[in-house]
Amino acid sequence: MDAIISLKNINKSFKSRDHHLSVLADIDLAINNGEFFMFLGPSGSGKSTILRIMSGLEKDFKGKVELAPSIGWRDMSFVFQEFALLPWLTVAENIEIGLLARDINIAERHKIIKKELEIMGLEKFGHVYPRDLSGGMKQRTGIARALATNPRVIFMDEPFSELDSFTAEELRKKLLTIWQERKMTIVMVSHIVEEAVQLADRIAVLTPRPSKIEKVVTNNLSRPRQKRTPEFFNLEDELARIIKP
Amino acid sequence: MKKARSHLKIYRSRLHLAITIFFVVVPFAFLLIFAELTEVATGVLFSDLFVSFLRLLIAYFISVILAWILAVSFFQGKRSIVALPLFDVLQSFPTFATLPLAVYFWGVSNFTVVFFLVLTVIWPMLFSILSSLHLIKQGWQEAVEMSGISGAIYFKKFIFPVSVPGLITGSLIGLGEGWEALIATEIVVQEKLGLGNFFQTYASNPKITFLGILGFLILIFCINKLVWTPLLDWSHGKLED
Repeated sequence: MDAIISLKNINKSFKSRDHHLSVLADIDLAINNGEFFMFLGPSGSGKSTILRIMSGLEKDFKGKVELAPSIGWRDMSFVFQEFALLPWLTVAENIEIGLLARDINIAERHKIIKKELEIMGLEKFGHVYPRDLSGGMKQRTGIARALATNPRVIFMDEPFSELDSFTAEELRKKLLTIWQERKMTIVMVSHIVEEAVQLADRIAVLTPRPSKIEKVVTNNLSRPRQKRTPEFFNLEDELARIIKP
Repeated sequence: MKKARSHLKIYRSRLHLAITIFFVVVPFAFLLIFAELTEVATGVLFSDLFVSFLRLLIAYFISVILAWILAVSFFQGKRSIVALPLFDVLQSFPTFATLPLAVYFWGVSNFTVVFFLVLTVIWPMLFSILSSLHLIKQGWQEAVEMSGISGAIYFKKFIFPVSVPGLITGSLIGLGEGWEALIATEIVVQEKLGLGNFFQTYASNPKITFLGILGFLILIFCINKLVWTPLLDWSHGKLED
């Protein structure tokens, strides 16, 4: 498989006058085109920092992020842990924001917004402001916004951790369906072992302070994945053994 | 007819419409009665009020534009480290100290009054817009960065909406200070038209002065109720997610 994003010797540290804290150390990794990649680790293991470096949000680091020649910033989008919806825009306007930067005409924009609203079950909420939505609805909007630009890569920073378990499970299934249909690359961050086993093709387990990739585990369980099977539990156990809190 | 009806929908009830009409009618009715009672020519009163109001309005719009540009240019990054303390010092400067100099350069003119008003109104506007812009959350900033919007769309969809609550609060405070500075400036520079001239002319007549102040208060109260309170209500919670 060809790499869509490569990380070469990424190092990141925070410096203060009398303190030097290494956050990421010697991260080397290649994300393959079309795969569902997961960074798994406890809090403080630098998962989100890696994602922010890959997406270009974090610019202060050492090392190199290489993108495949066929992709640029227009082909990437981001789903945030705390939704990051713009509260003065309606659901539909939030979804539209990335389309405005891509010179898509108004008729086409409305068509795309309508489609994404339907896919995420938000068709009756296009005119609603984020403050009037539940957490689940907000994250549906966040995902719809990320999908609307038809990206080749979506970065997801613990997208379901703010949601109740029922909503989170429903959205995971929805995300898998969309990923299989659209064949984009997903790079997600999580601290939930079960979520990683359920969703990812490959899982990079991170150790904290400084964060290093302990091991990249390939998940060969066939899809759709059944949670209550010995293979599923075995992989969960294997990952749990690698994680050092 | 249909269009007129749809416009009327901005009034939430008949009571709302009635109150709005009340706020428009009361100041005019007061001015007419006032002119009648005090035997001041109605035209003079209206033209004084109109000229003063126009000066403040022009100064207000100049201040809004300047304050917004300054706030947006200097609210973050390295520039803010230098600019914000500088703004703090400048706003503490007693603006009346510049008035004789302004009169010296530009004489007794509308320009002098407007210039002085801009110096007064711009600071509350600037600091209110700055405080709004400082409410920008990292998440919003990053979502906007990932969306890739730039140029006019960036300002229209991101920076302007965030600055609106500050613009409205700043307008309320700025215009309050502006009215005060307006009358004082008009009296000091002895402009021939305007409320300052009106109050100076009738300084020896307490009845007219008192009624003039009352009328002035009614006008400001009505403008606040008609324009600023609804805008403040509307903007309240706009930035809550």
